[in-house]
Amino acid sequence: MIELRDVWFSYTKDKNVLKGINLKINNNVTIIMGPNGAGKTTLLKIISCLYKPDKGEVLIDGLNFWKANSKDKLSLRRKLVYVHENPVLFKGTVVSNVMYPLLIRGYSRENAKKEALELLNRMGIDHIAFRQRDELSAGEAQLVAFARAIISGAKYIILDEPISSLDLEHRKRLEFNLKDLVREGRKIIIATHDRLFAFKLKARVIEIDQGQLSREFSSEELITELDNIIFS
Amino acid sequence: MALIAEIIEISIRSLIISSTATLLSASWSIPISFHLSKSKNRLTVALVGVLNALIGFPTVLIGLLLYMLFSSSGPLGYLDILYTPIAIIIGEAILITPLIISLSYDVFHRAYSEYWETSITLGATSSQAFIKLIEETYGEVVVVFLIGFSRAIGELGVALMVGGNIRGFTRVFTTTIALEVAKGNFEVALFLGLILLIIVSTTSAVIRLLGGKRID
Ligand SMILES: Nc1ncnc2c1ncn2[C@@H]1O[C@H](COP(=O)(O)OP(=O)(O)OP(=O)(O)O)[C@@H](O)[C@H]1O
Ligand SMILES: [Mg+2]
Repeated sequence: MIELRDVWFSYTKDKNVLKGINLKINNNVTIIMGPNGAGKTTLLKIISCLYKPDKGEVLIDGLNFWKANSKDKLSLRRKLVYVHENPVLFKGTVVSNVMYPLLIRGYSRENAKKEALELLNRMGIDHIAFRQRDELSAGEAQLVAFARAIISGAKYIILDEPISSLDLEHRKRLEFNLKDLVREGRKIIIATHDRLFAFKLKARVIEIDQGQLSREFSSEELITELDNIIFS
Repeated sequence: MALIAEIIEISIRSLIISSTATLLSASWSIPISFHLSKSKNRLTVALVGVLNALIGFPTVLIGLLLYMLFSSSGPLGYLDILYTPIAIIIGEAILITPLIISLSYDVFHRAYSEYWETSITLGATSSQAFIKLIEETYGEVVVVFLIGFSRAIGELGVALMVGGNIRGFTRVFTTTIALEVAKGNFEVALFLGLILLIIVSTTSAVIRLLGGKRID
């Protein structure tokens, strides 16, 4: 479980971006919604322990991350993986990107490459395995960043707008992949604007507005809203 | 023949002094700018602003300050390094420090939120993430080094005031040119100027080449 206790965060002194967030995340899939600039990305980076709150606590499986020693910090961090809104790929090929999390965990190049290629194959994107990062479309880059994140084995997978560049076919693939991950017992946290995508994942939906939690419901309840949008 | 030999000797000395100064300056400037780029507090922003302003600091002023520091009655006089190549190296390293910090700060600041964060979240230790950051910014950091080197090899104030332009010991391009002009030897001065120009423009050609490749 990830728990936030009275979390405050600001980029500049004059404006708080998160204002006293209290949140427990333990569902298989949690979706964060909210208007542009509401603080979704900031919240996800706090959850991922990439940003340190100005005030408040972040507990990962009961341990206070920012008070942990550096060894515990590393093992807690390895339970979490965050995928940026705009995927950040390293120099080199797709497969070398996907190998990275394994290499830093001490895998041999050979084993890392084998596993990376297997994953790309399962995801149906093995045909781009040996492309350079500047030879990918936006959607392909998004899928590669996703593959690289899940191969890390992290328990909590935190995705920021993961489908913004994906076509229908690839969205479906991603949904399948997410369902697989849930079956493996991994927890998924997603920020998205896409109500249909949110609806199709059985999820707890949390809405945030101006840095505060404003509403919480289950994804089934989105259907009435979708009705309203479609038939209005 | 003797003249050619001397010119070659001066060229080699200049290259060694300025590249050593660049590396020395980088040894503190790069870690400093890396730490600055990680921090988000206001003091950092102010400090970066000050460093930016210091880029244009007059070289003779630095020369003068270091002269006072290193002269036998100065606080560091006991080191006995005034009028040695070491003094020039230290002086040039200090001279280009604001330049190297500001330029590499920009590089790191942009790369930090992307590559550092990505490596860390993928499970890297701090040193693994640092290696990744350097791998990703390598080309740009080399460009920063070369810009620093160009400024160091082309400056006169520091080399003259703390080096003293001693023949066969601390004489470098710029001090020789100044001396030859003073003596009325315009041909020698022009010839040296030409070599210096070739070195500096080769450096900037390399900079442009690396800079252009950066989007890979
Ligand atoms: N690096 C930054 N420096 C200063 N302010 C920032 C920075 N990043 C975000 N902000 C501000 O913080 C607020 C929340 O930003 P955040 O990126 O978390 O929003 P978001 O909900 O993810 O928006 P979007 O739907 O557009 O992705 C915004 O007002 C934004 O302007
Ligand atoms: Mg966002």
